[in-house]
Amino acid sequence: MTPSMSSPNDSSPARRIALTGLLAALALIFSYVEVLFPLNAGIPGIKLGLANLVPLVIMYRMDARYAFAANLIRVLLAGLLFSGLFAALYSLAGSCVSFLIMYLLKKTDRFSIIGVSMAGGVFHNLGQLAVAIILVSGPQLIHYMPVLILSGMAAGIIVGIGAFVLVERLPAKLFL
Amino acid sequence: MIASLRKADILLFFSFLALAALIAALPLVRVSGGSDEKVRIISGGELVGIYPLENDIEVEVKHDGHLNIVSIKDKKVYMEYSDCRNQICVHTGEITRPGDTIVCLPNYVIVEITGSEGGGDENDSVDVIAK
Repeated sequence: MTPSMSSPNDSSPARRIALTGLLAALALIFSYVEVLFPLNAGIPGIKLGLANLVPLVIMYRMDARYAFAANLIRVLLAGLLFSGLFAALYSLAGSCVSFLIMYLLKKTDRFSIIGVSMAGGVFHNLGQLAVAIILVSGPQLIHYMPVLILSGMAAGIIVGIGAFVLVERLPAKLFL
Repeated sequence: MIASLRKADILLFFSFLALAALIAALPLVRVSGGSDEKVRIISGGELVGIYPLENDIEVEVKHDGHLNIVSIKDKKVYMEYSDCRNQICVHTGEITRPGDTIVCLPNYVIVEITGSEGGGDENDSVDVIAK
């Protein structure tokens, strides 16, 4: 799309598919780890979002398209495996909004990976809230927004620090 | 790592905090501004009127030669008088919460308290069908 991104188009389709599958599997493992060891600070429905490490790092070290594809597959599979179809839809909305925001913020080149991750965490929660407001048709749900913003910030910053450490240690053009 | 933080990061951090604080302050304003609870009176399937729960009022409901008097007083609603046979509606006593109803079946009168704005209408129609 843009020249700044290393284009995956020069690699063969088979290689791209294999890579995407590999990355989706990696992301799915993070989701699984989080199911096994939920870190929710005592507030139900709030979690760290460890799996967001994968698209974040891919975005910085590979290509946003790989990040998006792997994340989409991860969300659908994790939703169906661990939480059910309905929760998967919530997750999907949250992660799509979150991904879009992270992609745009990264593109501005004014934010560190920690800031990008923080915004991603916040908008993941807000995307889910938006779906909840539409489905439950309850605008009063907006009262949950402060909690969701703060928890999204905290989770995003923690994941962002992890991503920062990883990105620093990985080669600039991972797999490409 | 701290050094890698950019000005925009810090700005974004505080804007999120400000947004959260702003929204957290919203409901406080609304609660102190008074509730939006309304009293709906339905007679023979037709809406007689919607009255705010705050204002004290007596409503006479006339339908097919029957008479019911609904009283709203001190944020409580009760059936003051009914000329029906069983007087169940009168004996229901006071209702105070959204979703509470007084029903007078012989005279086809339903009195209910509805909650604040939005969504309420859907729930109400479900309630009426369920009855």
